[in-house]
Amino acid sequence: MYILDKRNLLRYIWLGAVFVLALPFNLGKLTGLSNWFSPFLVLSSVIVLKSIVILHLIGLIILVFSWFRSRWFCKYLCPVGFSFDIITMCFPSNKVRSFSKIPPINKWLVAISFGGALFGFSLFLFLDPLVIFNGFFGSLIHSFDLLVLLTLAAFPLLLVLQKIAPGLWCEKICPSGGLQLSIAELKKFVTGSSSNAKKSEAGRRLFIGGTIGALAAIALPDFKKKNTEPAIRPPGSIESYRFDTLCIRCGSCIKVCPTQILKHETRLTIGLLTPIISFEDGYCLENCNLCSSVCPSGAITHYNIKTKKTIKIAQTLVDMSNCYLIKQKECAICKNACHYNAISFNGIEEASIKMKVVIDQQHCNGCGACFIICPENCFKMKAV
Amino acid sequence: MKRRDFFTNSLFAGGALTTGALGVHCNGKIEPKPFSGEVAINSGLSEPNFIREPEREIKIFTRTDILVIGGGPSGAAAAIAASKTGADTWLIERYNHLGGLWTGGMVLPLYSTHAVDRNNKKVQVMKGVGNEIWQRLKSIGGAIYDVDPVIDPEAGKYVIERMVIEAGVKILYHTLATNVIMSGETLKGVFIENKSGRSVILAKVVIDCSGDGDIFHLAGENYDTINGNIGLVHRLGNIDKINKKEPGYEQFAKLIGKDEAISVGRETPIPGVNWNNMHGKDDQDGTDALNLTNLQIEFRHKIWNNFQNIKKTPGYKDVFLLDTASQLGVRVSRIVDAEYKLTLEDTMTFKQFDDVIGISGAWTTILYKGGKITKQSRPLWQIPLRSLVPKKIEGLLVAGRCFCYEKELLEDARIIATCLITGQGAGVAAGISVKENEKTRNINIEKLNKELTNQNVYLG
Ligand SMILES: Cc1cc2nc3c(=O)[nH]c(=O)nc-3n(C[C@H](O)[C@H](O)[C@H](O)COP(=O)(O)OP(=O)(O)OC[C@H]3O[C@@H](n4cnc5c(N)ncnc54)[C@H](O)[C@@H]3O)c2cc1C
Ligand code: SF4
Ligand code: SF4
Repeated sequence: MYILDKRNLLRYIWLGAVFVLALPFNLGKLTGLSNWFSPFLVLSSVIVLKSIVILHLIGLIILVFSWFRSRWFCKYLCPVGFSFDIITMCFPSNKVRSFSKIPPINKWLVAISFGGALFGFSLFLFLDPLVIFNGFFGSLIHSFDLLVLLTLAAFPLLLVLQKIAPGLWCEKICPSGGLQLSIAELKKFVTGSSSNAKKSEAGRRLFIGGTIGALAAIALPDFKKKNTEPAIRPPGSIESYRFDTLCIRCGSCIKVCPTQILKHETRLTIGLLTPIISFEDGYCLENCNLCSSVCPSGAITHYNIKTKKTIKIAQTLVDMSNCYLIKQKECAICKNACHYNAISFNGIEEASIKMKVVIDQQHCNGCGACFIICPENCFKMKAV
Repeated sequence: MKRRDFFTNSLFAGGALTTGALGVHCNGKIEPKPFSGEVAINSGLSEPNFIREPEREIKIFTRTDILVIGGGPSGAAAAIAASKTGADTWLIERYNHLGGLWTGGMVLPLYSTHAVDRNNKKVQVMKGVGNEIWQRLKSIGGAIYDVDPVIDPEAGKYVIERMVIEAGVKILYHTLATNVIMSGETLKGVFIENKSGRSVILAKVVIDCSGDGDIFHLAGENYDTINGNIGLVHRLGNIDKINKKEPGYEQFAKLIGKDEAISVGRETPIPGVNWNNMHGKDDQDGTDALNLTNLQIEFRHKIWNNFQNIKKTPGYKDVFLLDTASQLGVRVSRIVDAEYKLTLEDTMTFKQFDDVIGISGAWTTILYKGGKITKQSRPLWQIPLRSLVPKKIEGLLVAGRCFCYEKELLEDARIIATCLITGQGAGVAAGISVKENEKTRNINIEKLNKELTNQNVYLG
């Protein structure tokens, strides 16, 4: 294989683009854009959400391509596959291995994932090569937590795997490859060129895998509903129990957040490495919906900025014991900071000249502006 | 617009002869002229809700270089600074004292004398006139604390008045500015009303330090309206006689929890006397006289009740209600539309202006909207002359709590030190404008800078 043939040149350019888009550069809506090119990801999020946004079309069109050209995605778009090729070029090895004895794990993963997706939880999205690639570059941005570093490890581990057992990942494990193989299978089925044995094997896999996925999707969320305090999610997030399972941990939202309030969940729950809000560094801007527009999985559903005031992010509580108002000092900072006019001052008693801060929960969307600005730390933010 | 043209015309046509002879000062009584207007009949309305004022001649009280409307922190600083440039300066004030809300409103703490510079060092930013007032108050025991002092209101009234007079400013108390005299978009003077009746002061430059922006409102400049909290401050005496050891006190304190129900306020330079701040009601219109009256009545009632509750508290029986403020505490009302709207972001990022007139700081942790948020002690920030120059009206500058800034900056822009600084800046700019015979928006920035430095203003 030559390093610089025509196909490779295009792949170099694409790899460079995916690489840049994966970096935590605050690239706005472009952040992690390459995720939308993954047919596996996009198809399962469409199944889970049972709705579709424009960007989903990218992945779906690529899916259609792979009907006509087998493994088109792998050949042209997969940054992991291309990294593997580079490894092979740099460290050529003569060993030829055959994995024919190994069952098609990838197709099973696909069957299980889509079975689960029908019930709101597609299990193996995090194994998508684009997710692994993007997650690798997203993990380092805010925290150096040990667990966050785990996402950092996934991509290098794949490279090592490729060195030890070249081709194993692509041929037998990668679910994105699995999807494309399944498509090829389907094509044979439609054109009538597949043997009966193959047909019944595929049918069995689809049935058993799908059922396993469906059962897991129903059982798992209950199973993990444990005692951990619920986390505050990015605005537009779907219900928490589905979020943990739908989110693919690509880190795009965390990379894109202009105020850097999105962090990785580092507590050991099923929601490990999902995005959570920590208002310590800022508040959720009234004119921003970036995280919802970069989320490829649908865990953060896309919304229009105009409706942001109606999207409840958190519940805001106020503790008056340190408030300047109680100390008869001049202050109305929280009131002026609130973009939704949710804060008013009210007498602590009917006849009292002392005021307290009152939050109108109807208007408060839990943006955290008051939380960050109060000089006396009077506010608390709670998940809803 | 019609009405203003009418004033202009009558004044410059009919008034030119008479006024010329009057000289600069006219302390004579203004001749009474019985009102004989007819009630205008508006065909559509059976009960017309207005009458048409008949045309009449209004005496010119005086002509001056610079006329300052309102004697609050900004007005006093403006008048002193203007007079120091050599300009003939008049200051009119509707009450009987200077200092505005700071003294008459009994809002005693002077925020924010200090701020943090680029090297994260705390420096004193309020110098010039503001600092002089502070130091003089300190020397006579009228101010406590070394940063953000709290003053005694009577000492404040006295010291500010002395300084204004020493600077050569002429004061007219008990006088309300009620209308403007325009020539096109240029302000020529104002109508005033007082015990002597209605008269006119003509000026080359008017500085609107009325707090509520009465003058730019009348002159037809654009502005934003912000309705804020209005309150009434009061003072309590014998705070030093409170005996928390008195039987029953502990029980009482437990009952109400952290002395939340009653409030005895915060200390002032006079031992045993506390001032009690009040936020009052949200979103109130500070320019509606009926509303102000209702609030005044409601607040007095509340304060009295609070005082009764205090006296009932075991150990508090000697506490007495010393006084309620003579000025109702309007925090914000009109904010002028000037050539530049100062933003929160400017103040957080050490934004430099070539026409800087002074530097303020603020007392809050802060929010910065430019996509980033920082929470830190507040950096010092520059205020440009452009934020005091109204967009369309000539011959007018605006200082004090109604100069041009965005709402996010409100808590920092309306505080007393900022008012003193914008006041002094406007005074100096007006003085230069008169001396150089140049429009206020076109004055030479170098000269502005030099004069401000002469007057000890801190420019960074
Ligand atoms: C309750 C309360 C608490 C506050 N607490 C603090 C604090 O702790 N620290 C702080 O730094 N700041 C505080 N402030 C803010 C600060 O006191 C004011 O913003 C500041 O005094 C405004 O100064 P000014 O010169 O712009 O206007 P003002 O102080 O309002 O002065 C305006 C003057 O103009 C006069 N006037 C108005 N209209 C006319 C007219 N048409 N004709 C003639 N005269 C007129 C008025 O009588 C008044 O004397 C507080 C304000 C309030 C209301
Ligand atoms: S910002 Fe904090 S201290 Fe100030 S009024 Fe609001 S709650 Fe009270
Ligand atoms: S969190 Fe605070 S600032 Fe944000 S909407 Fe609620 S009350 Fe307003």
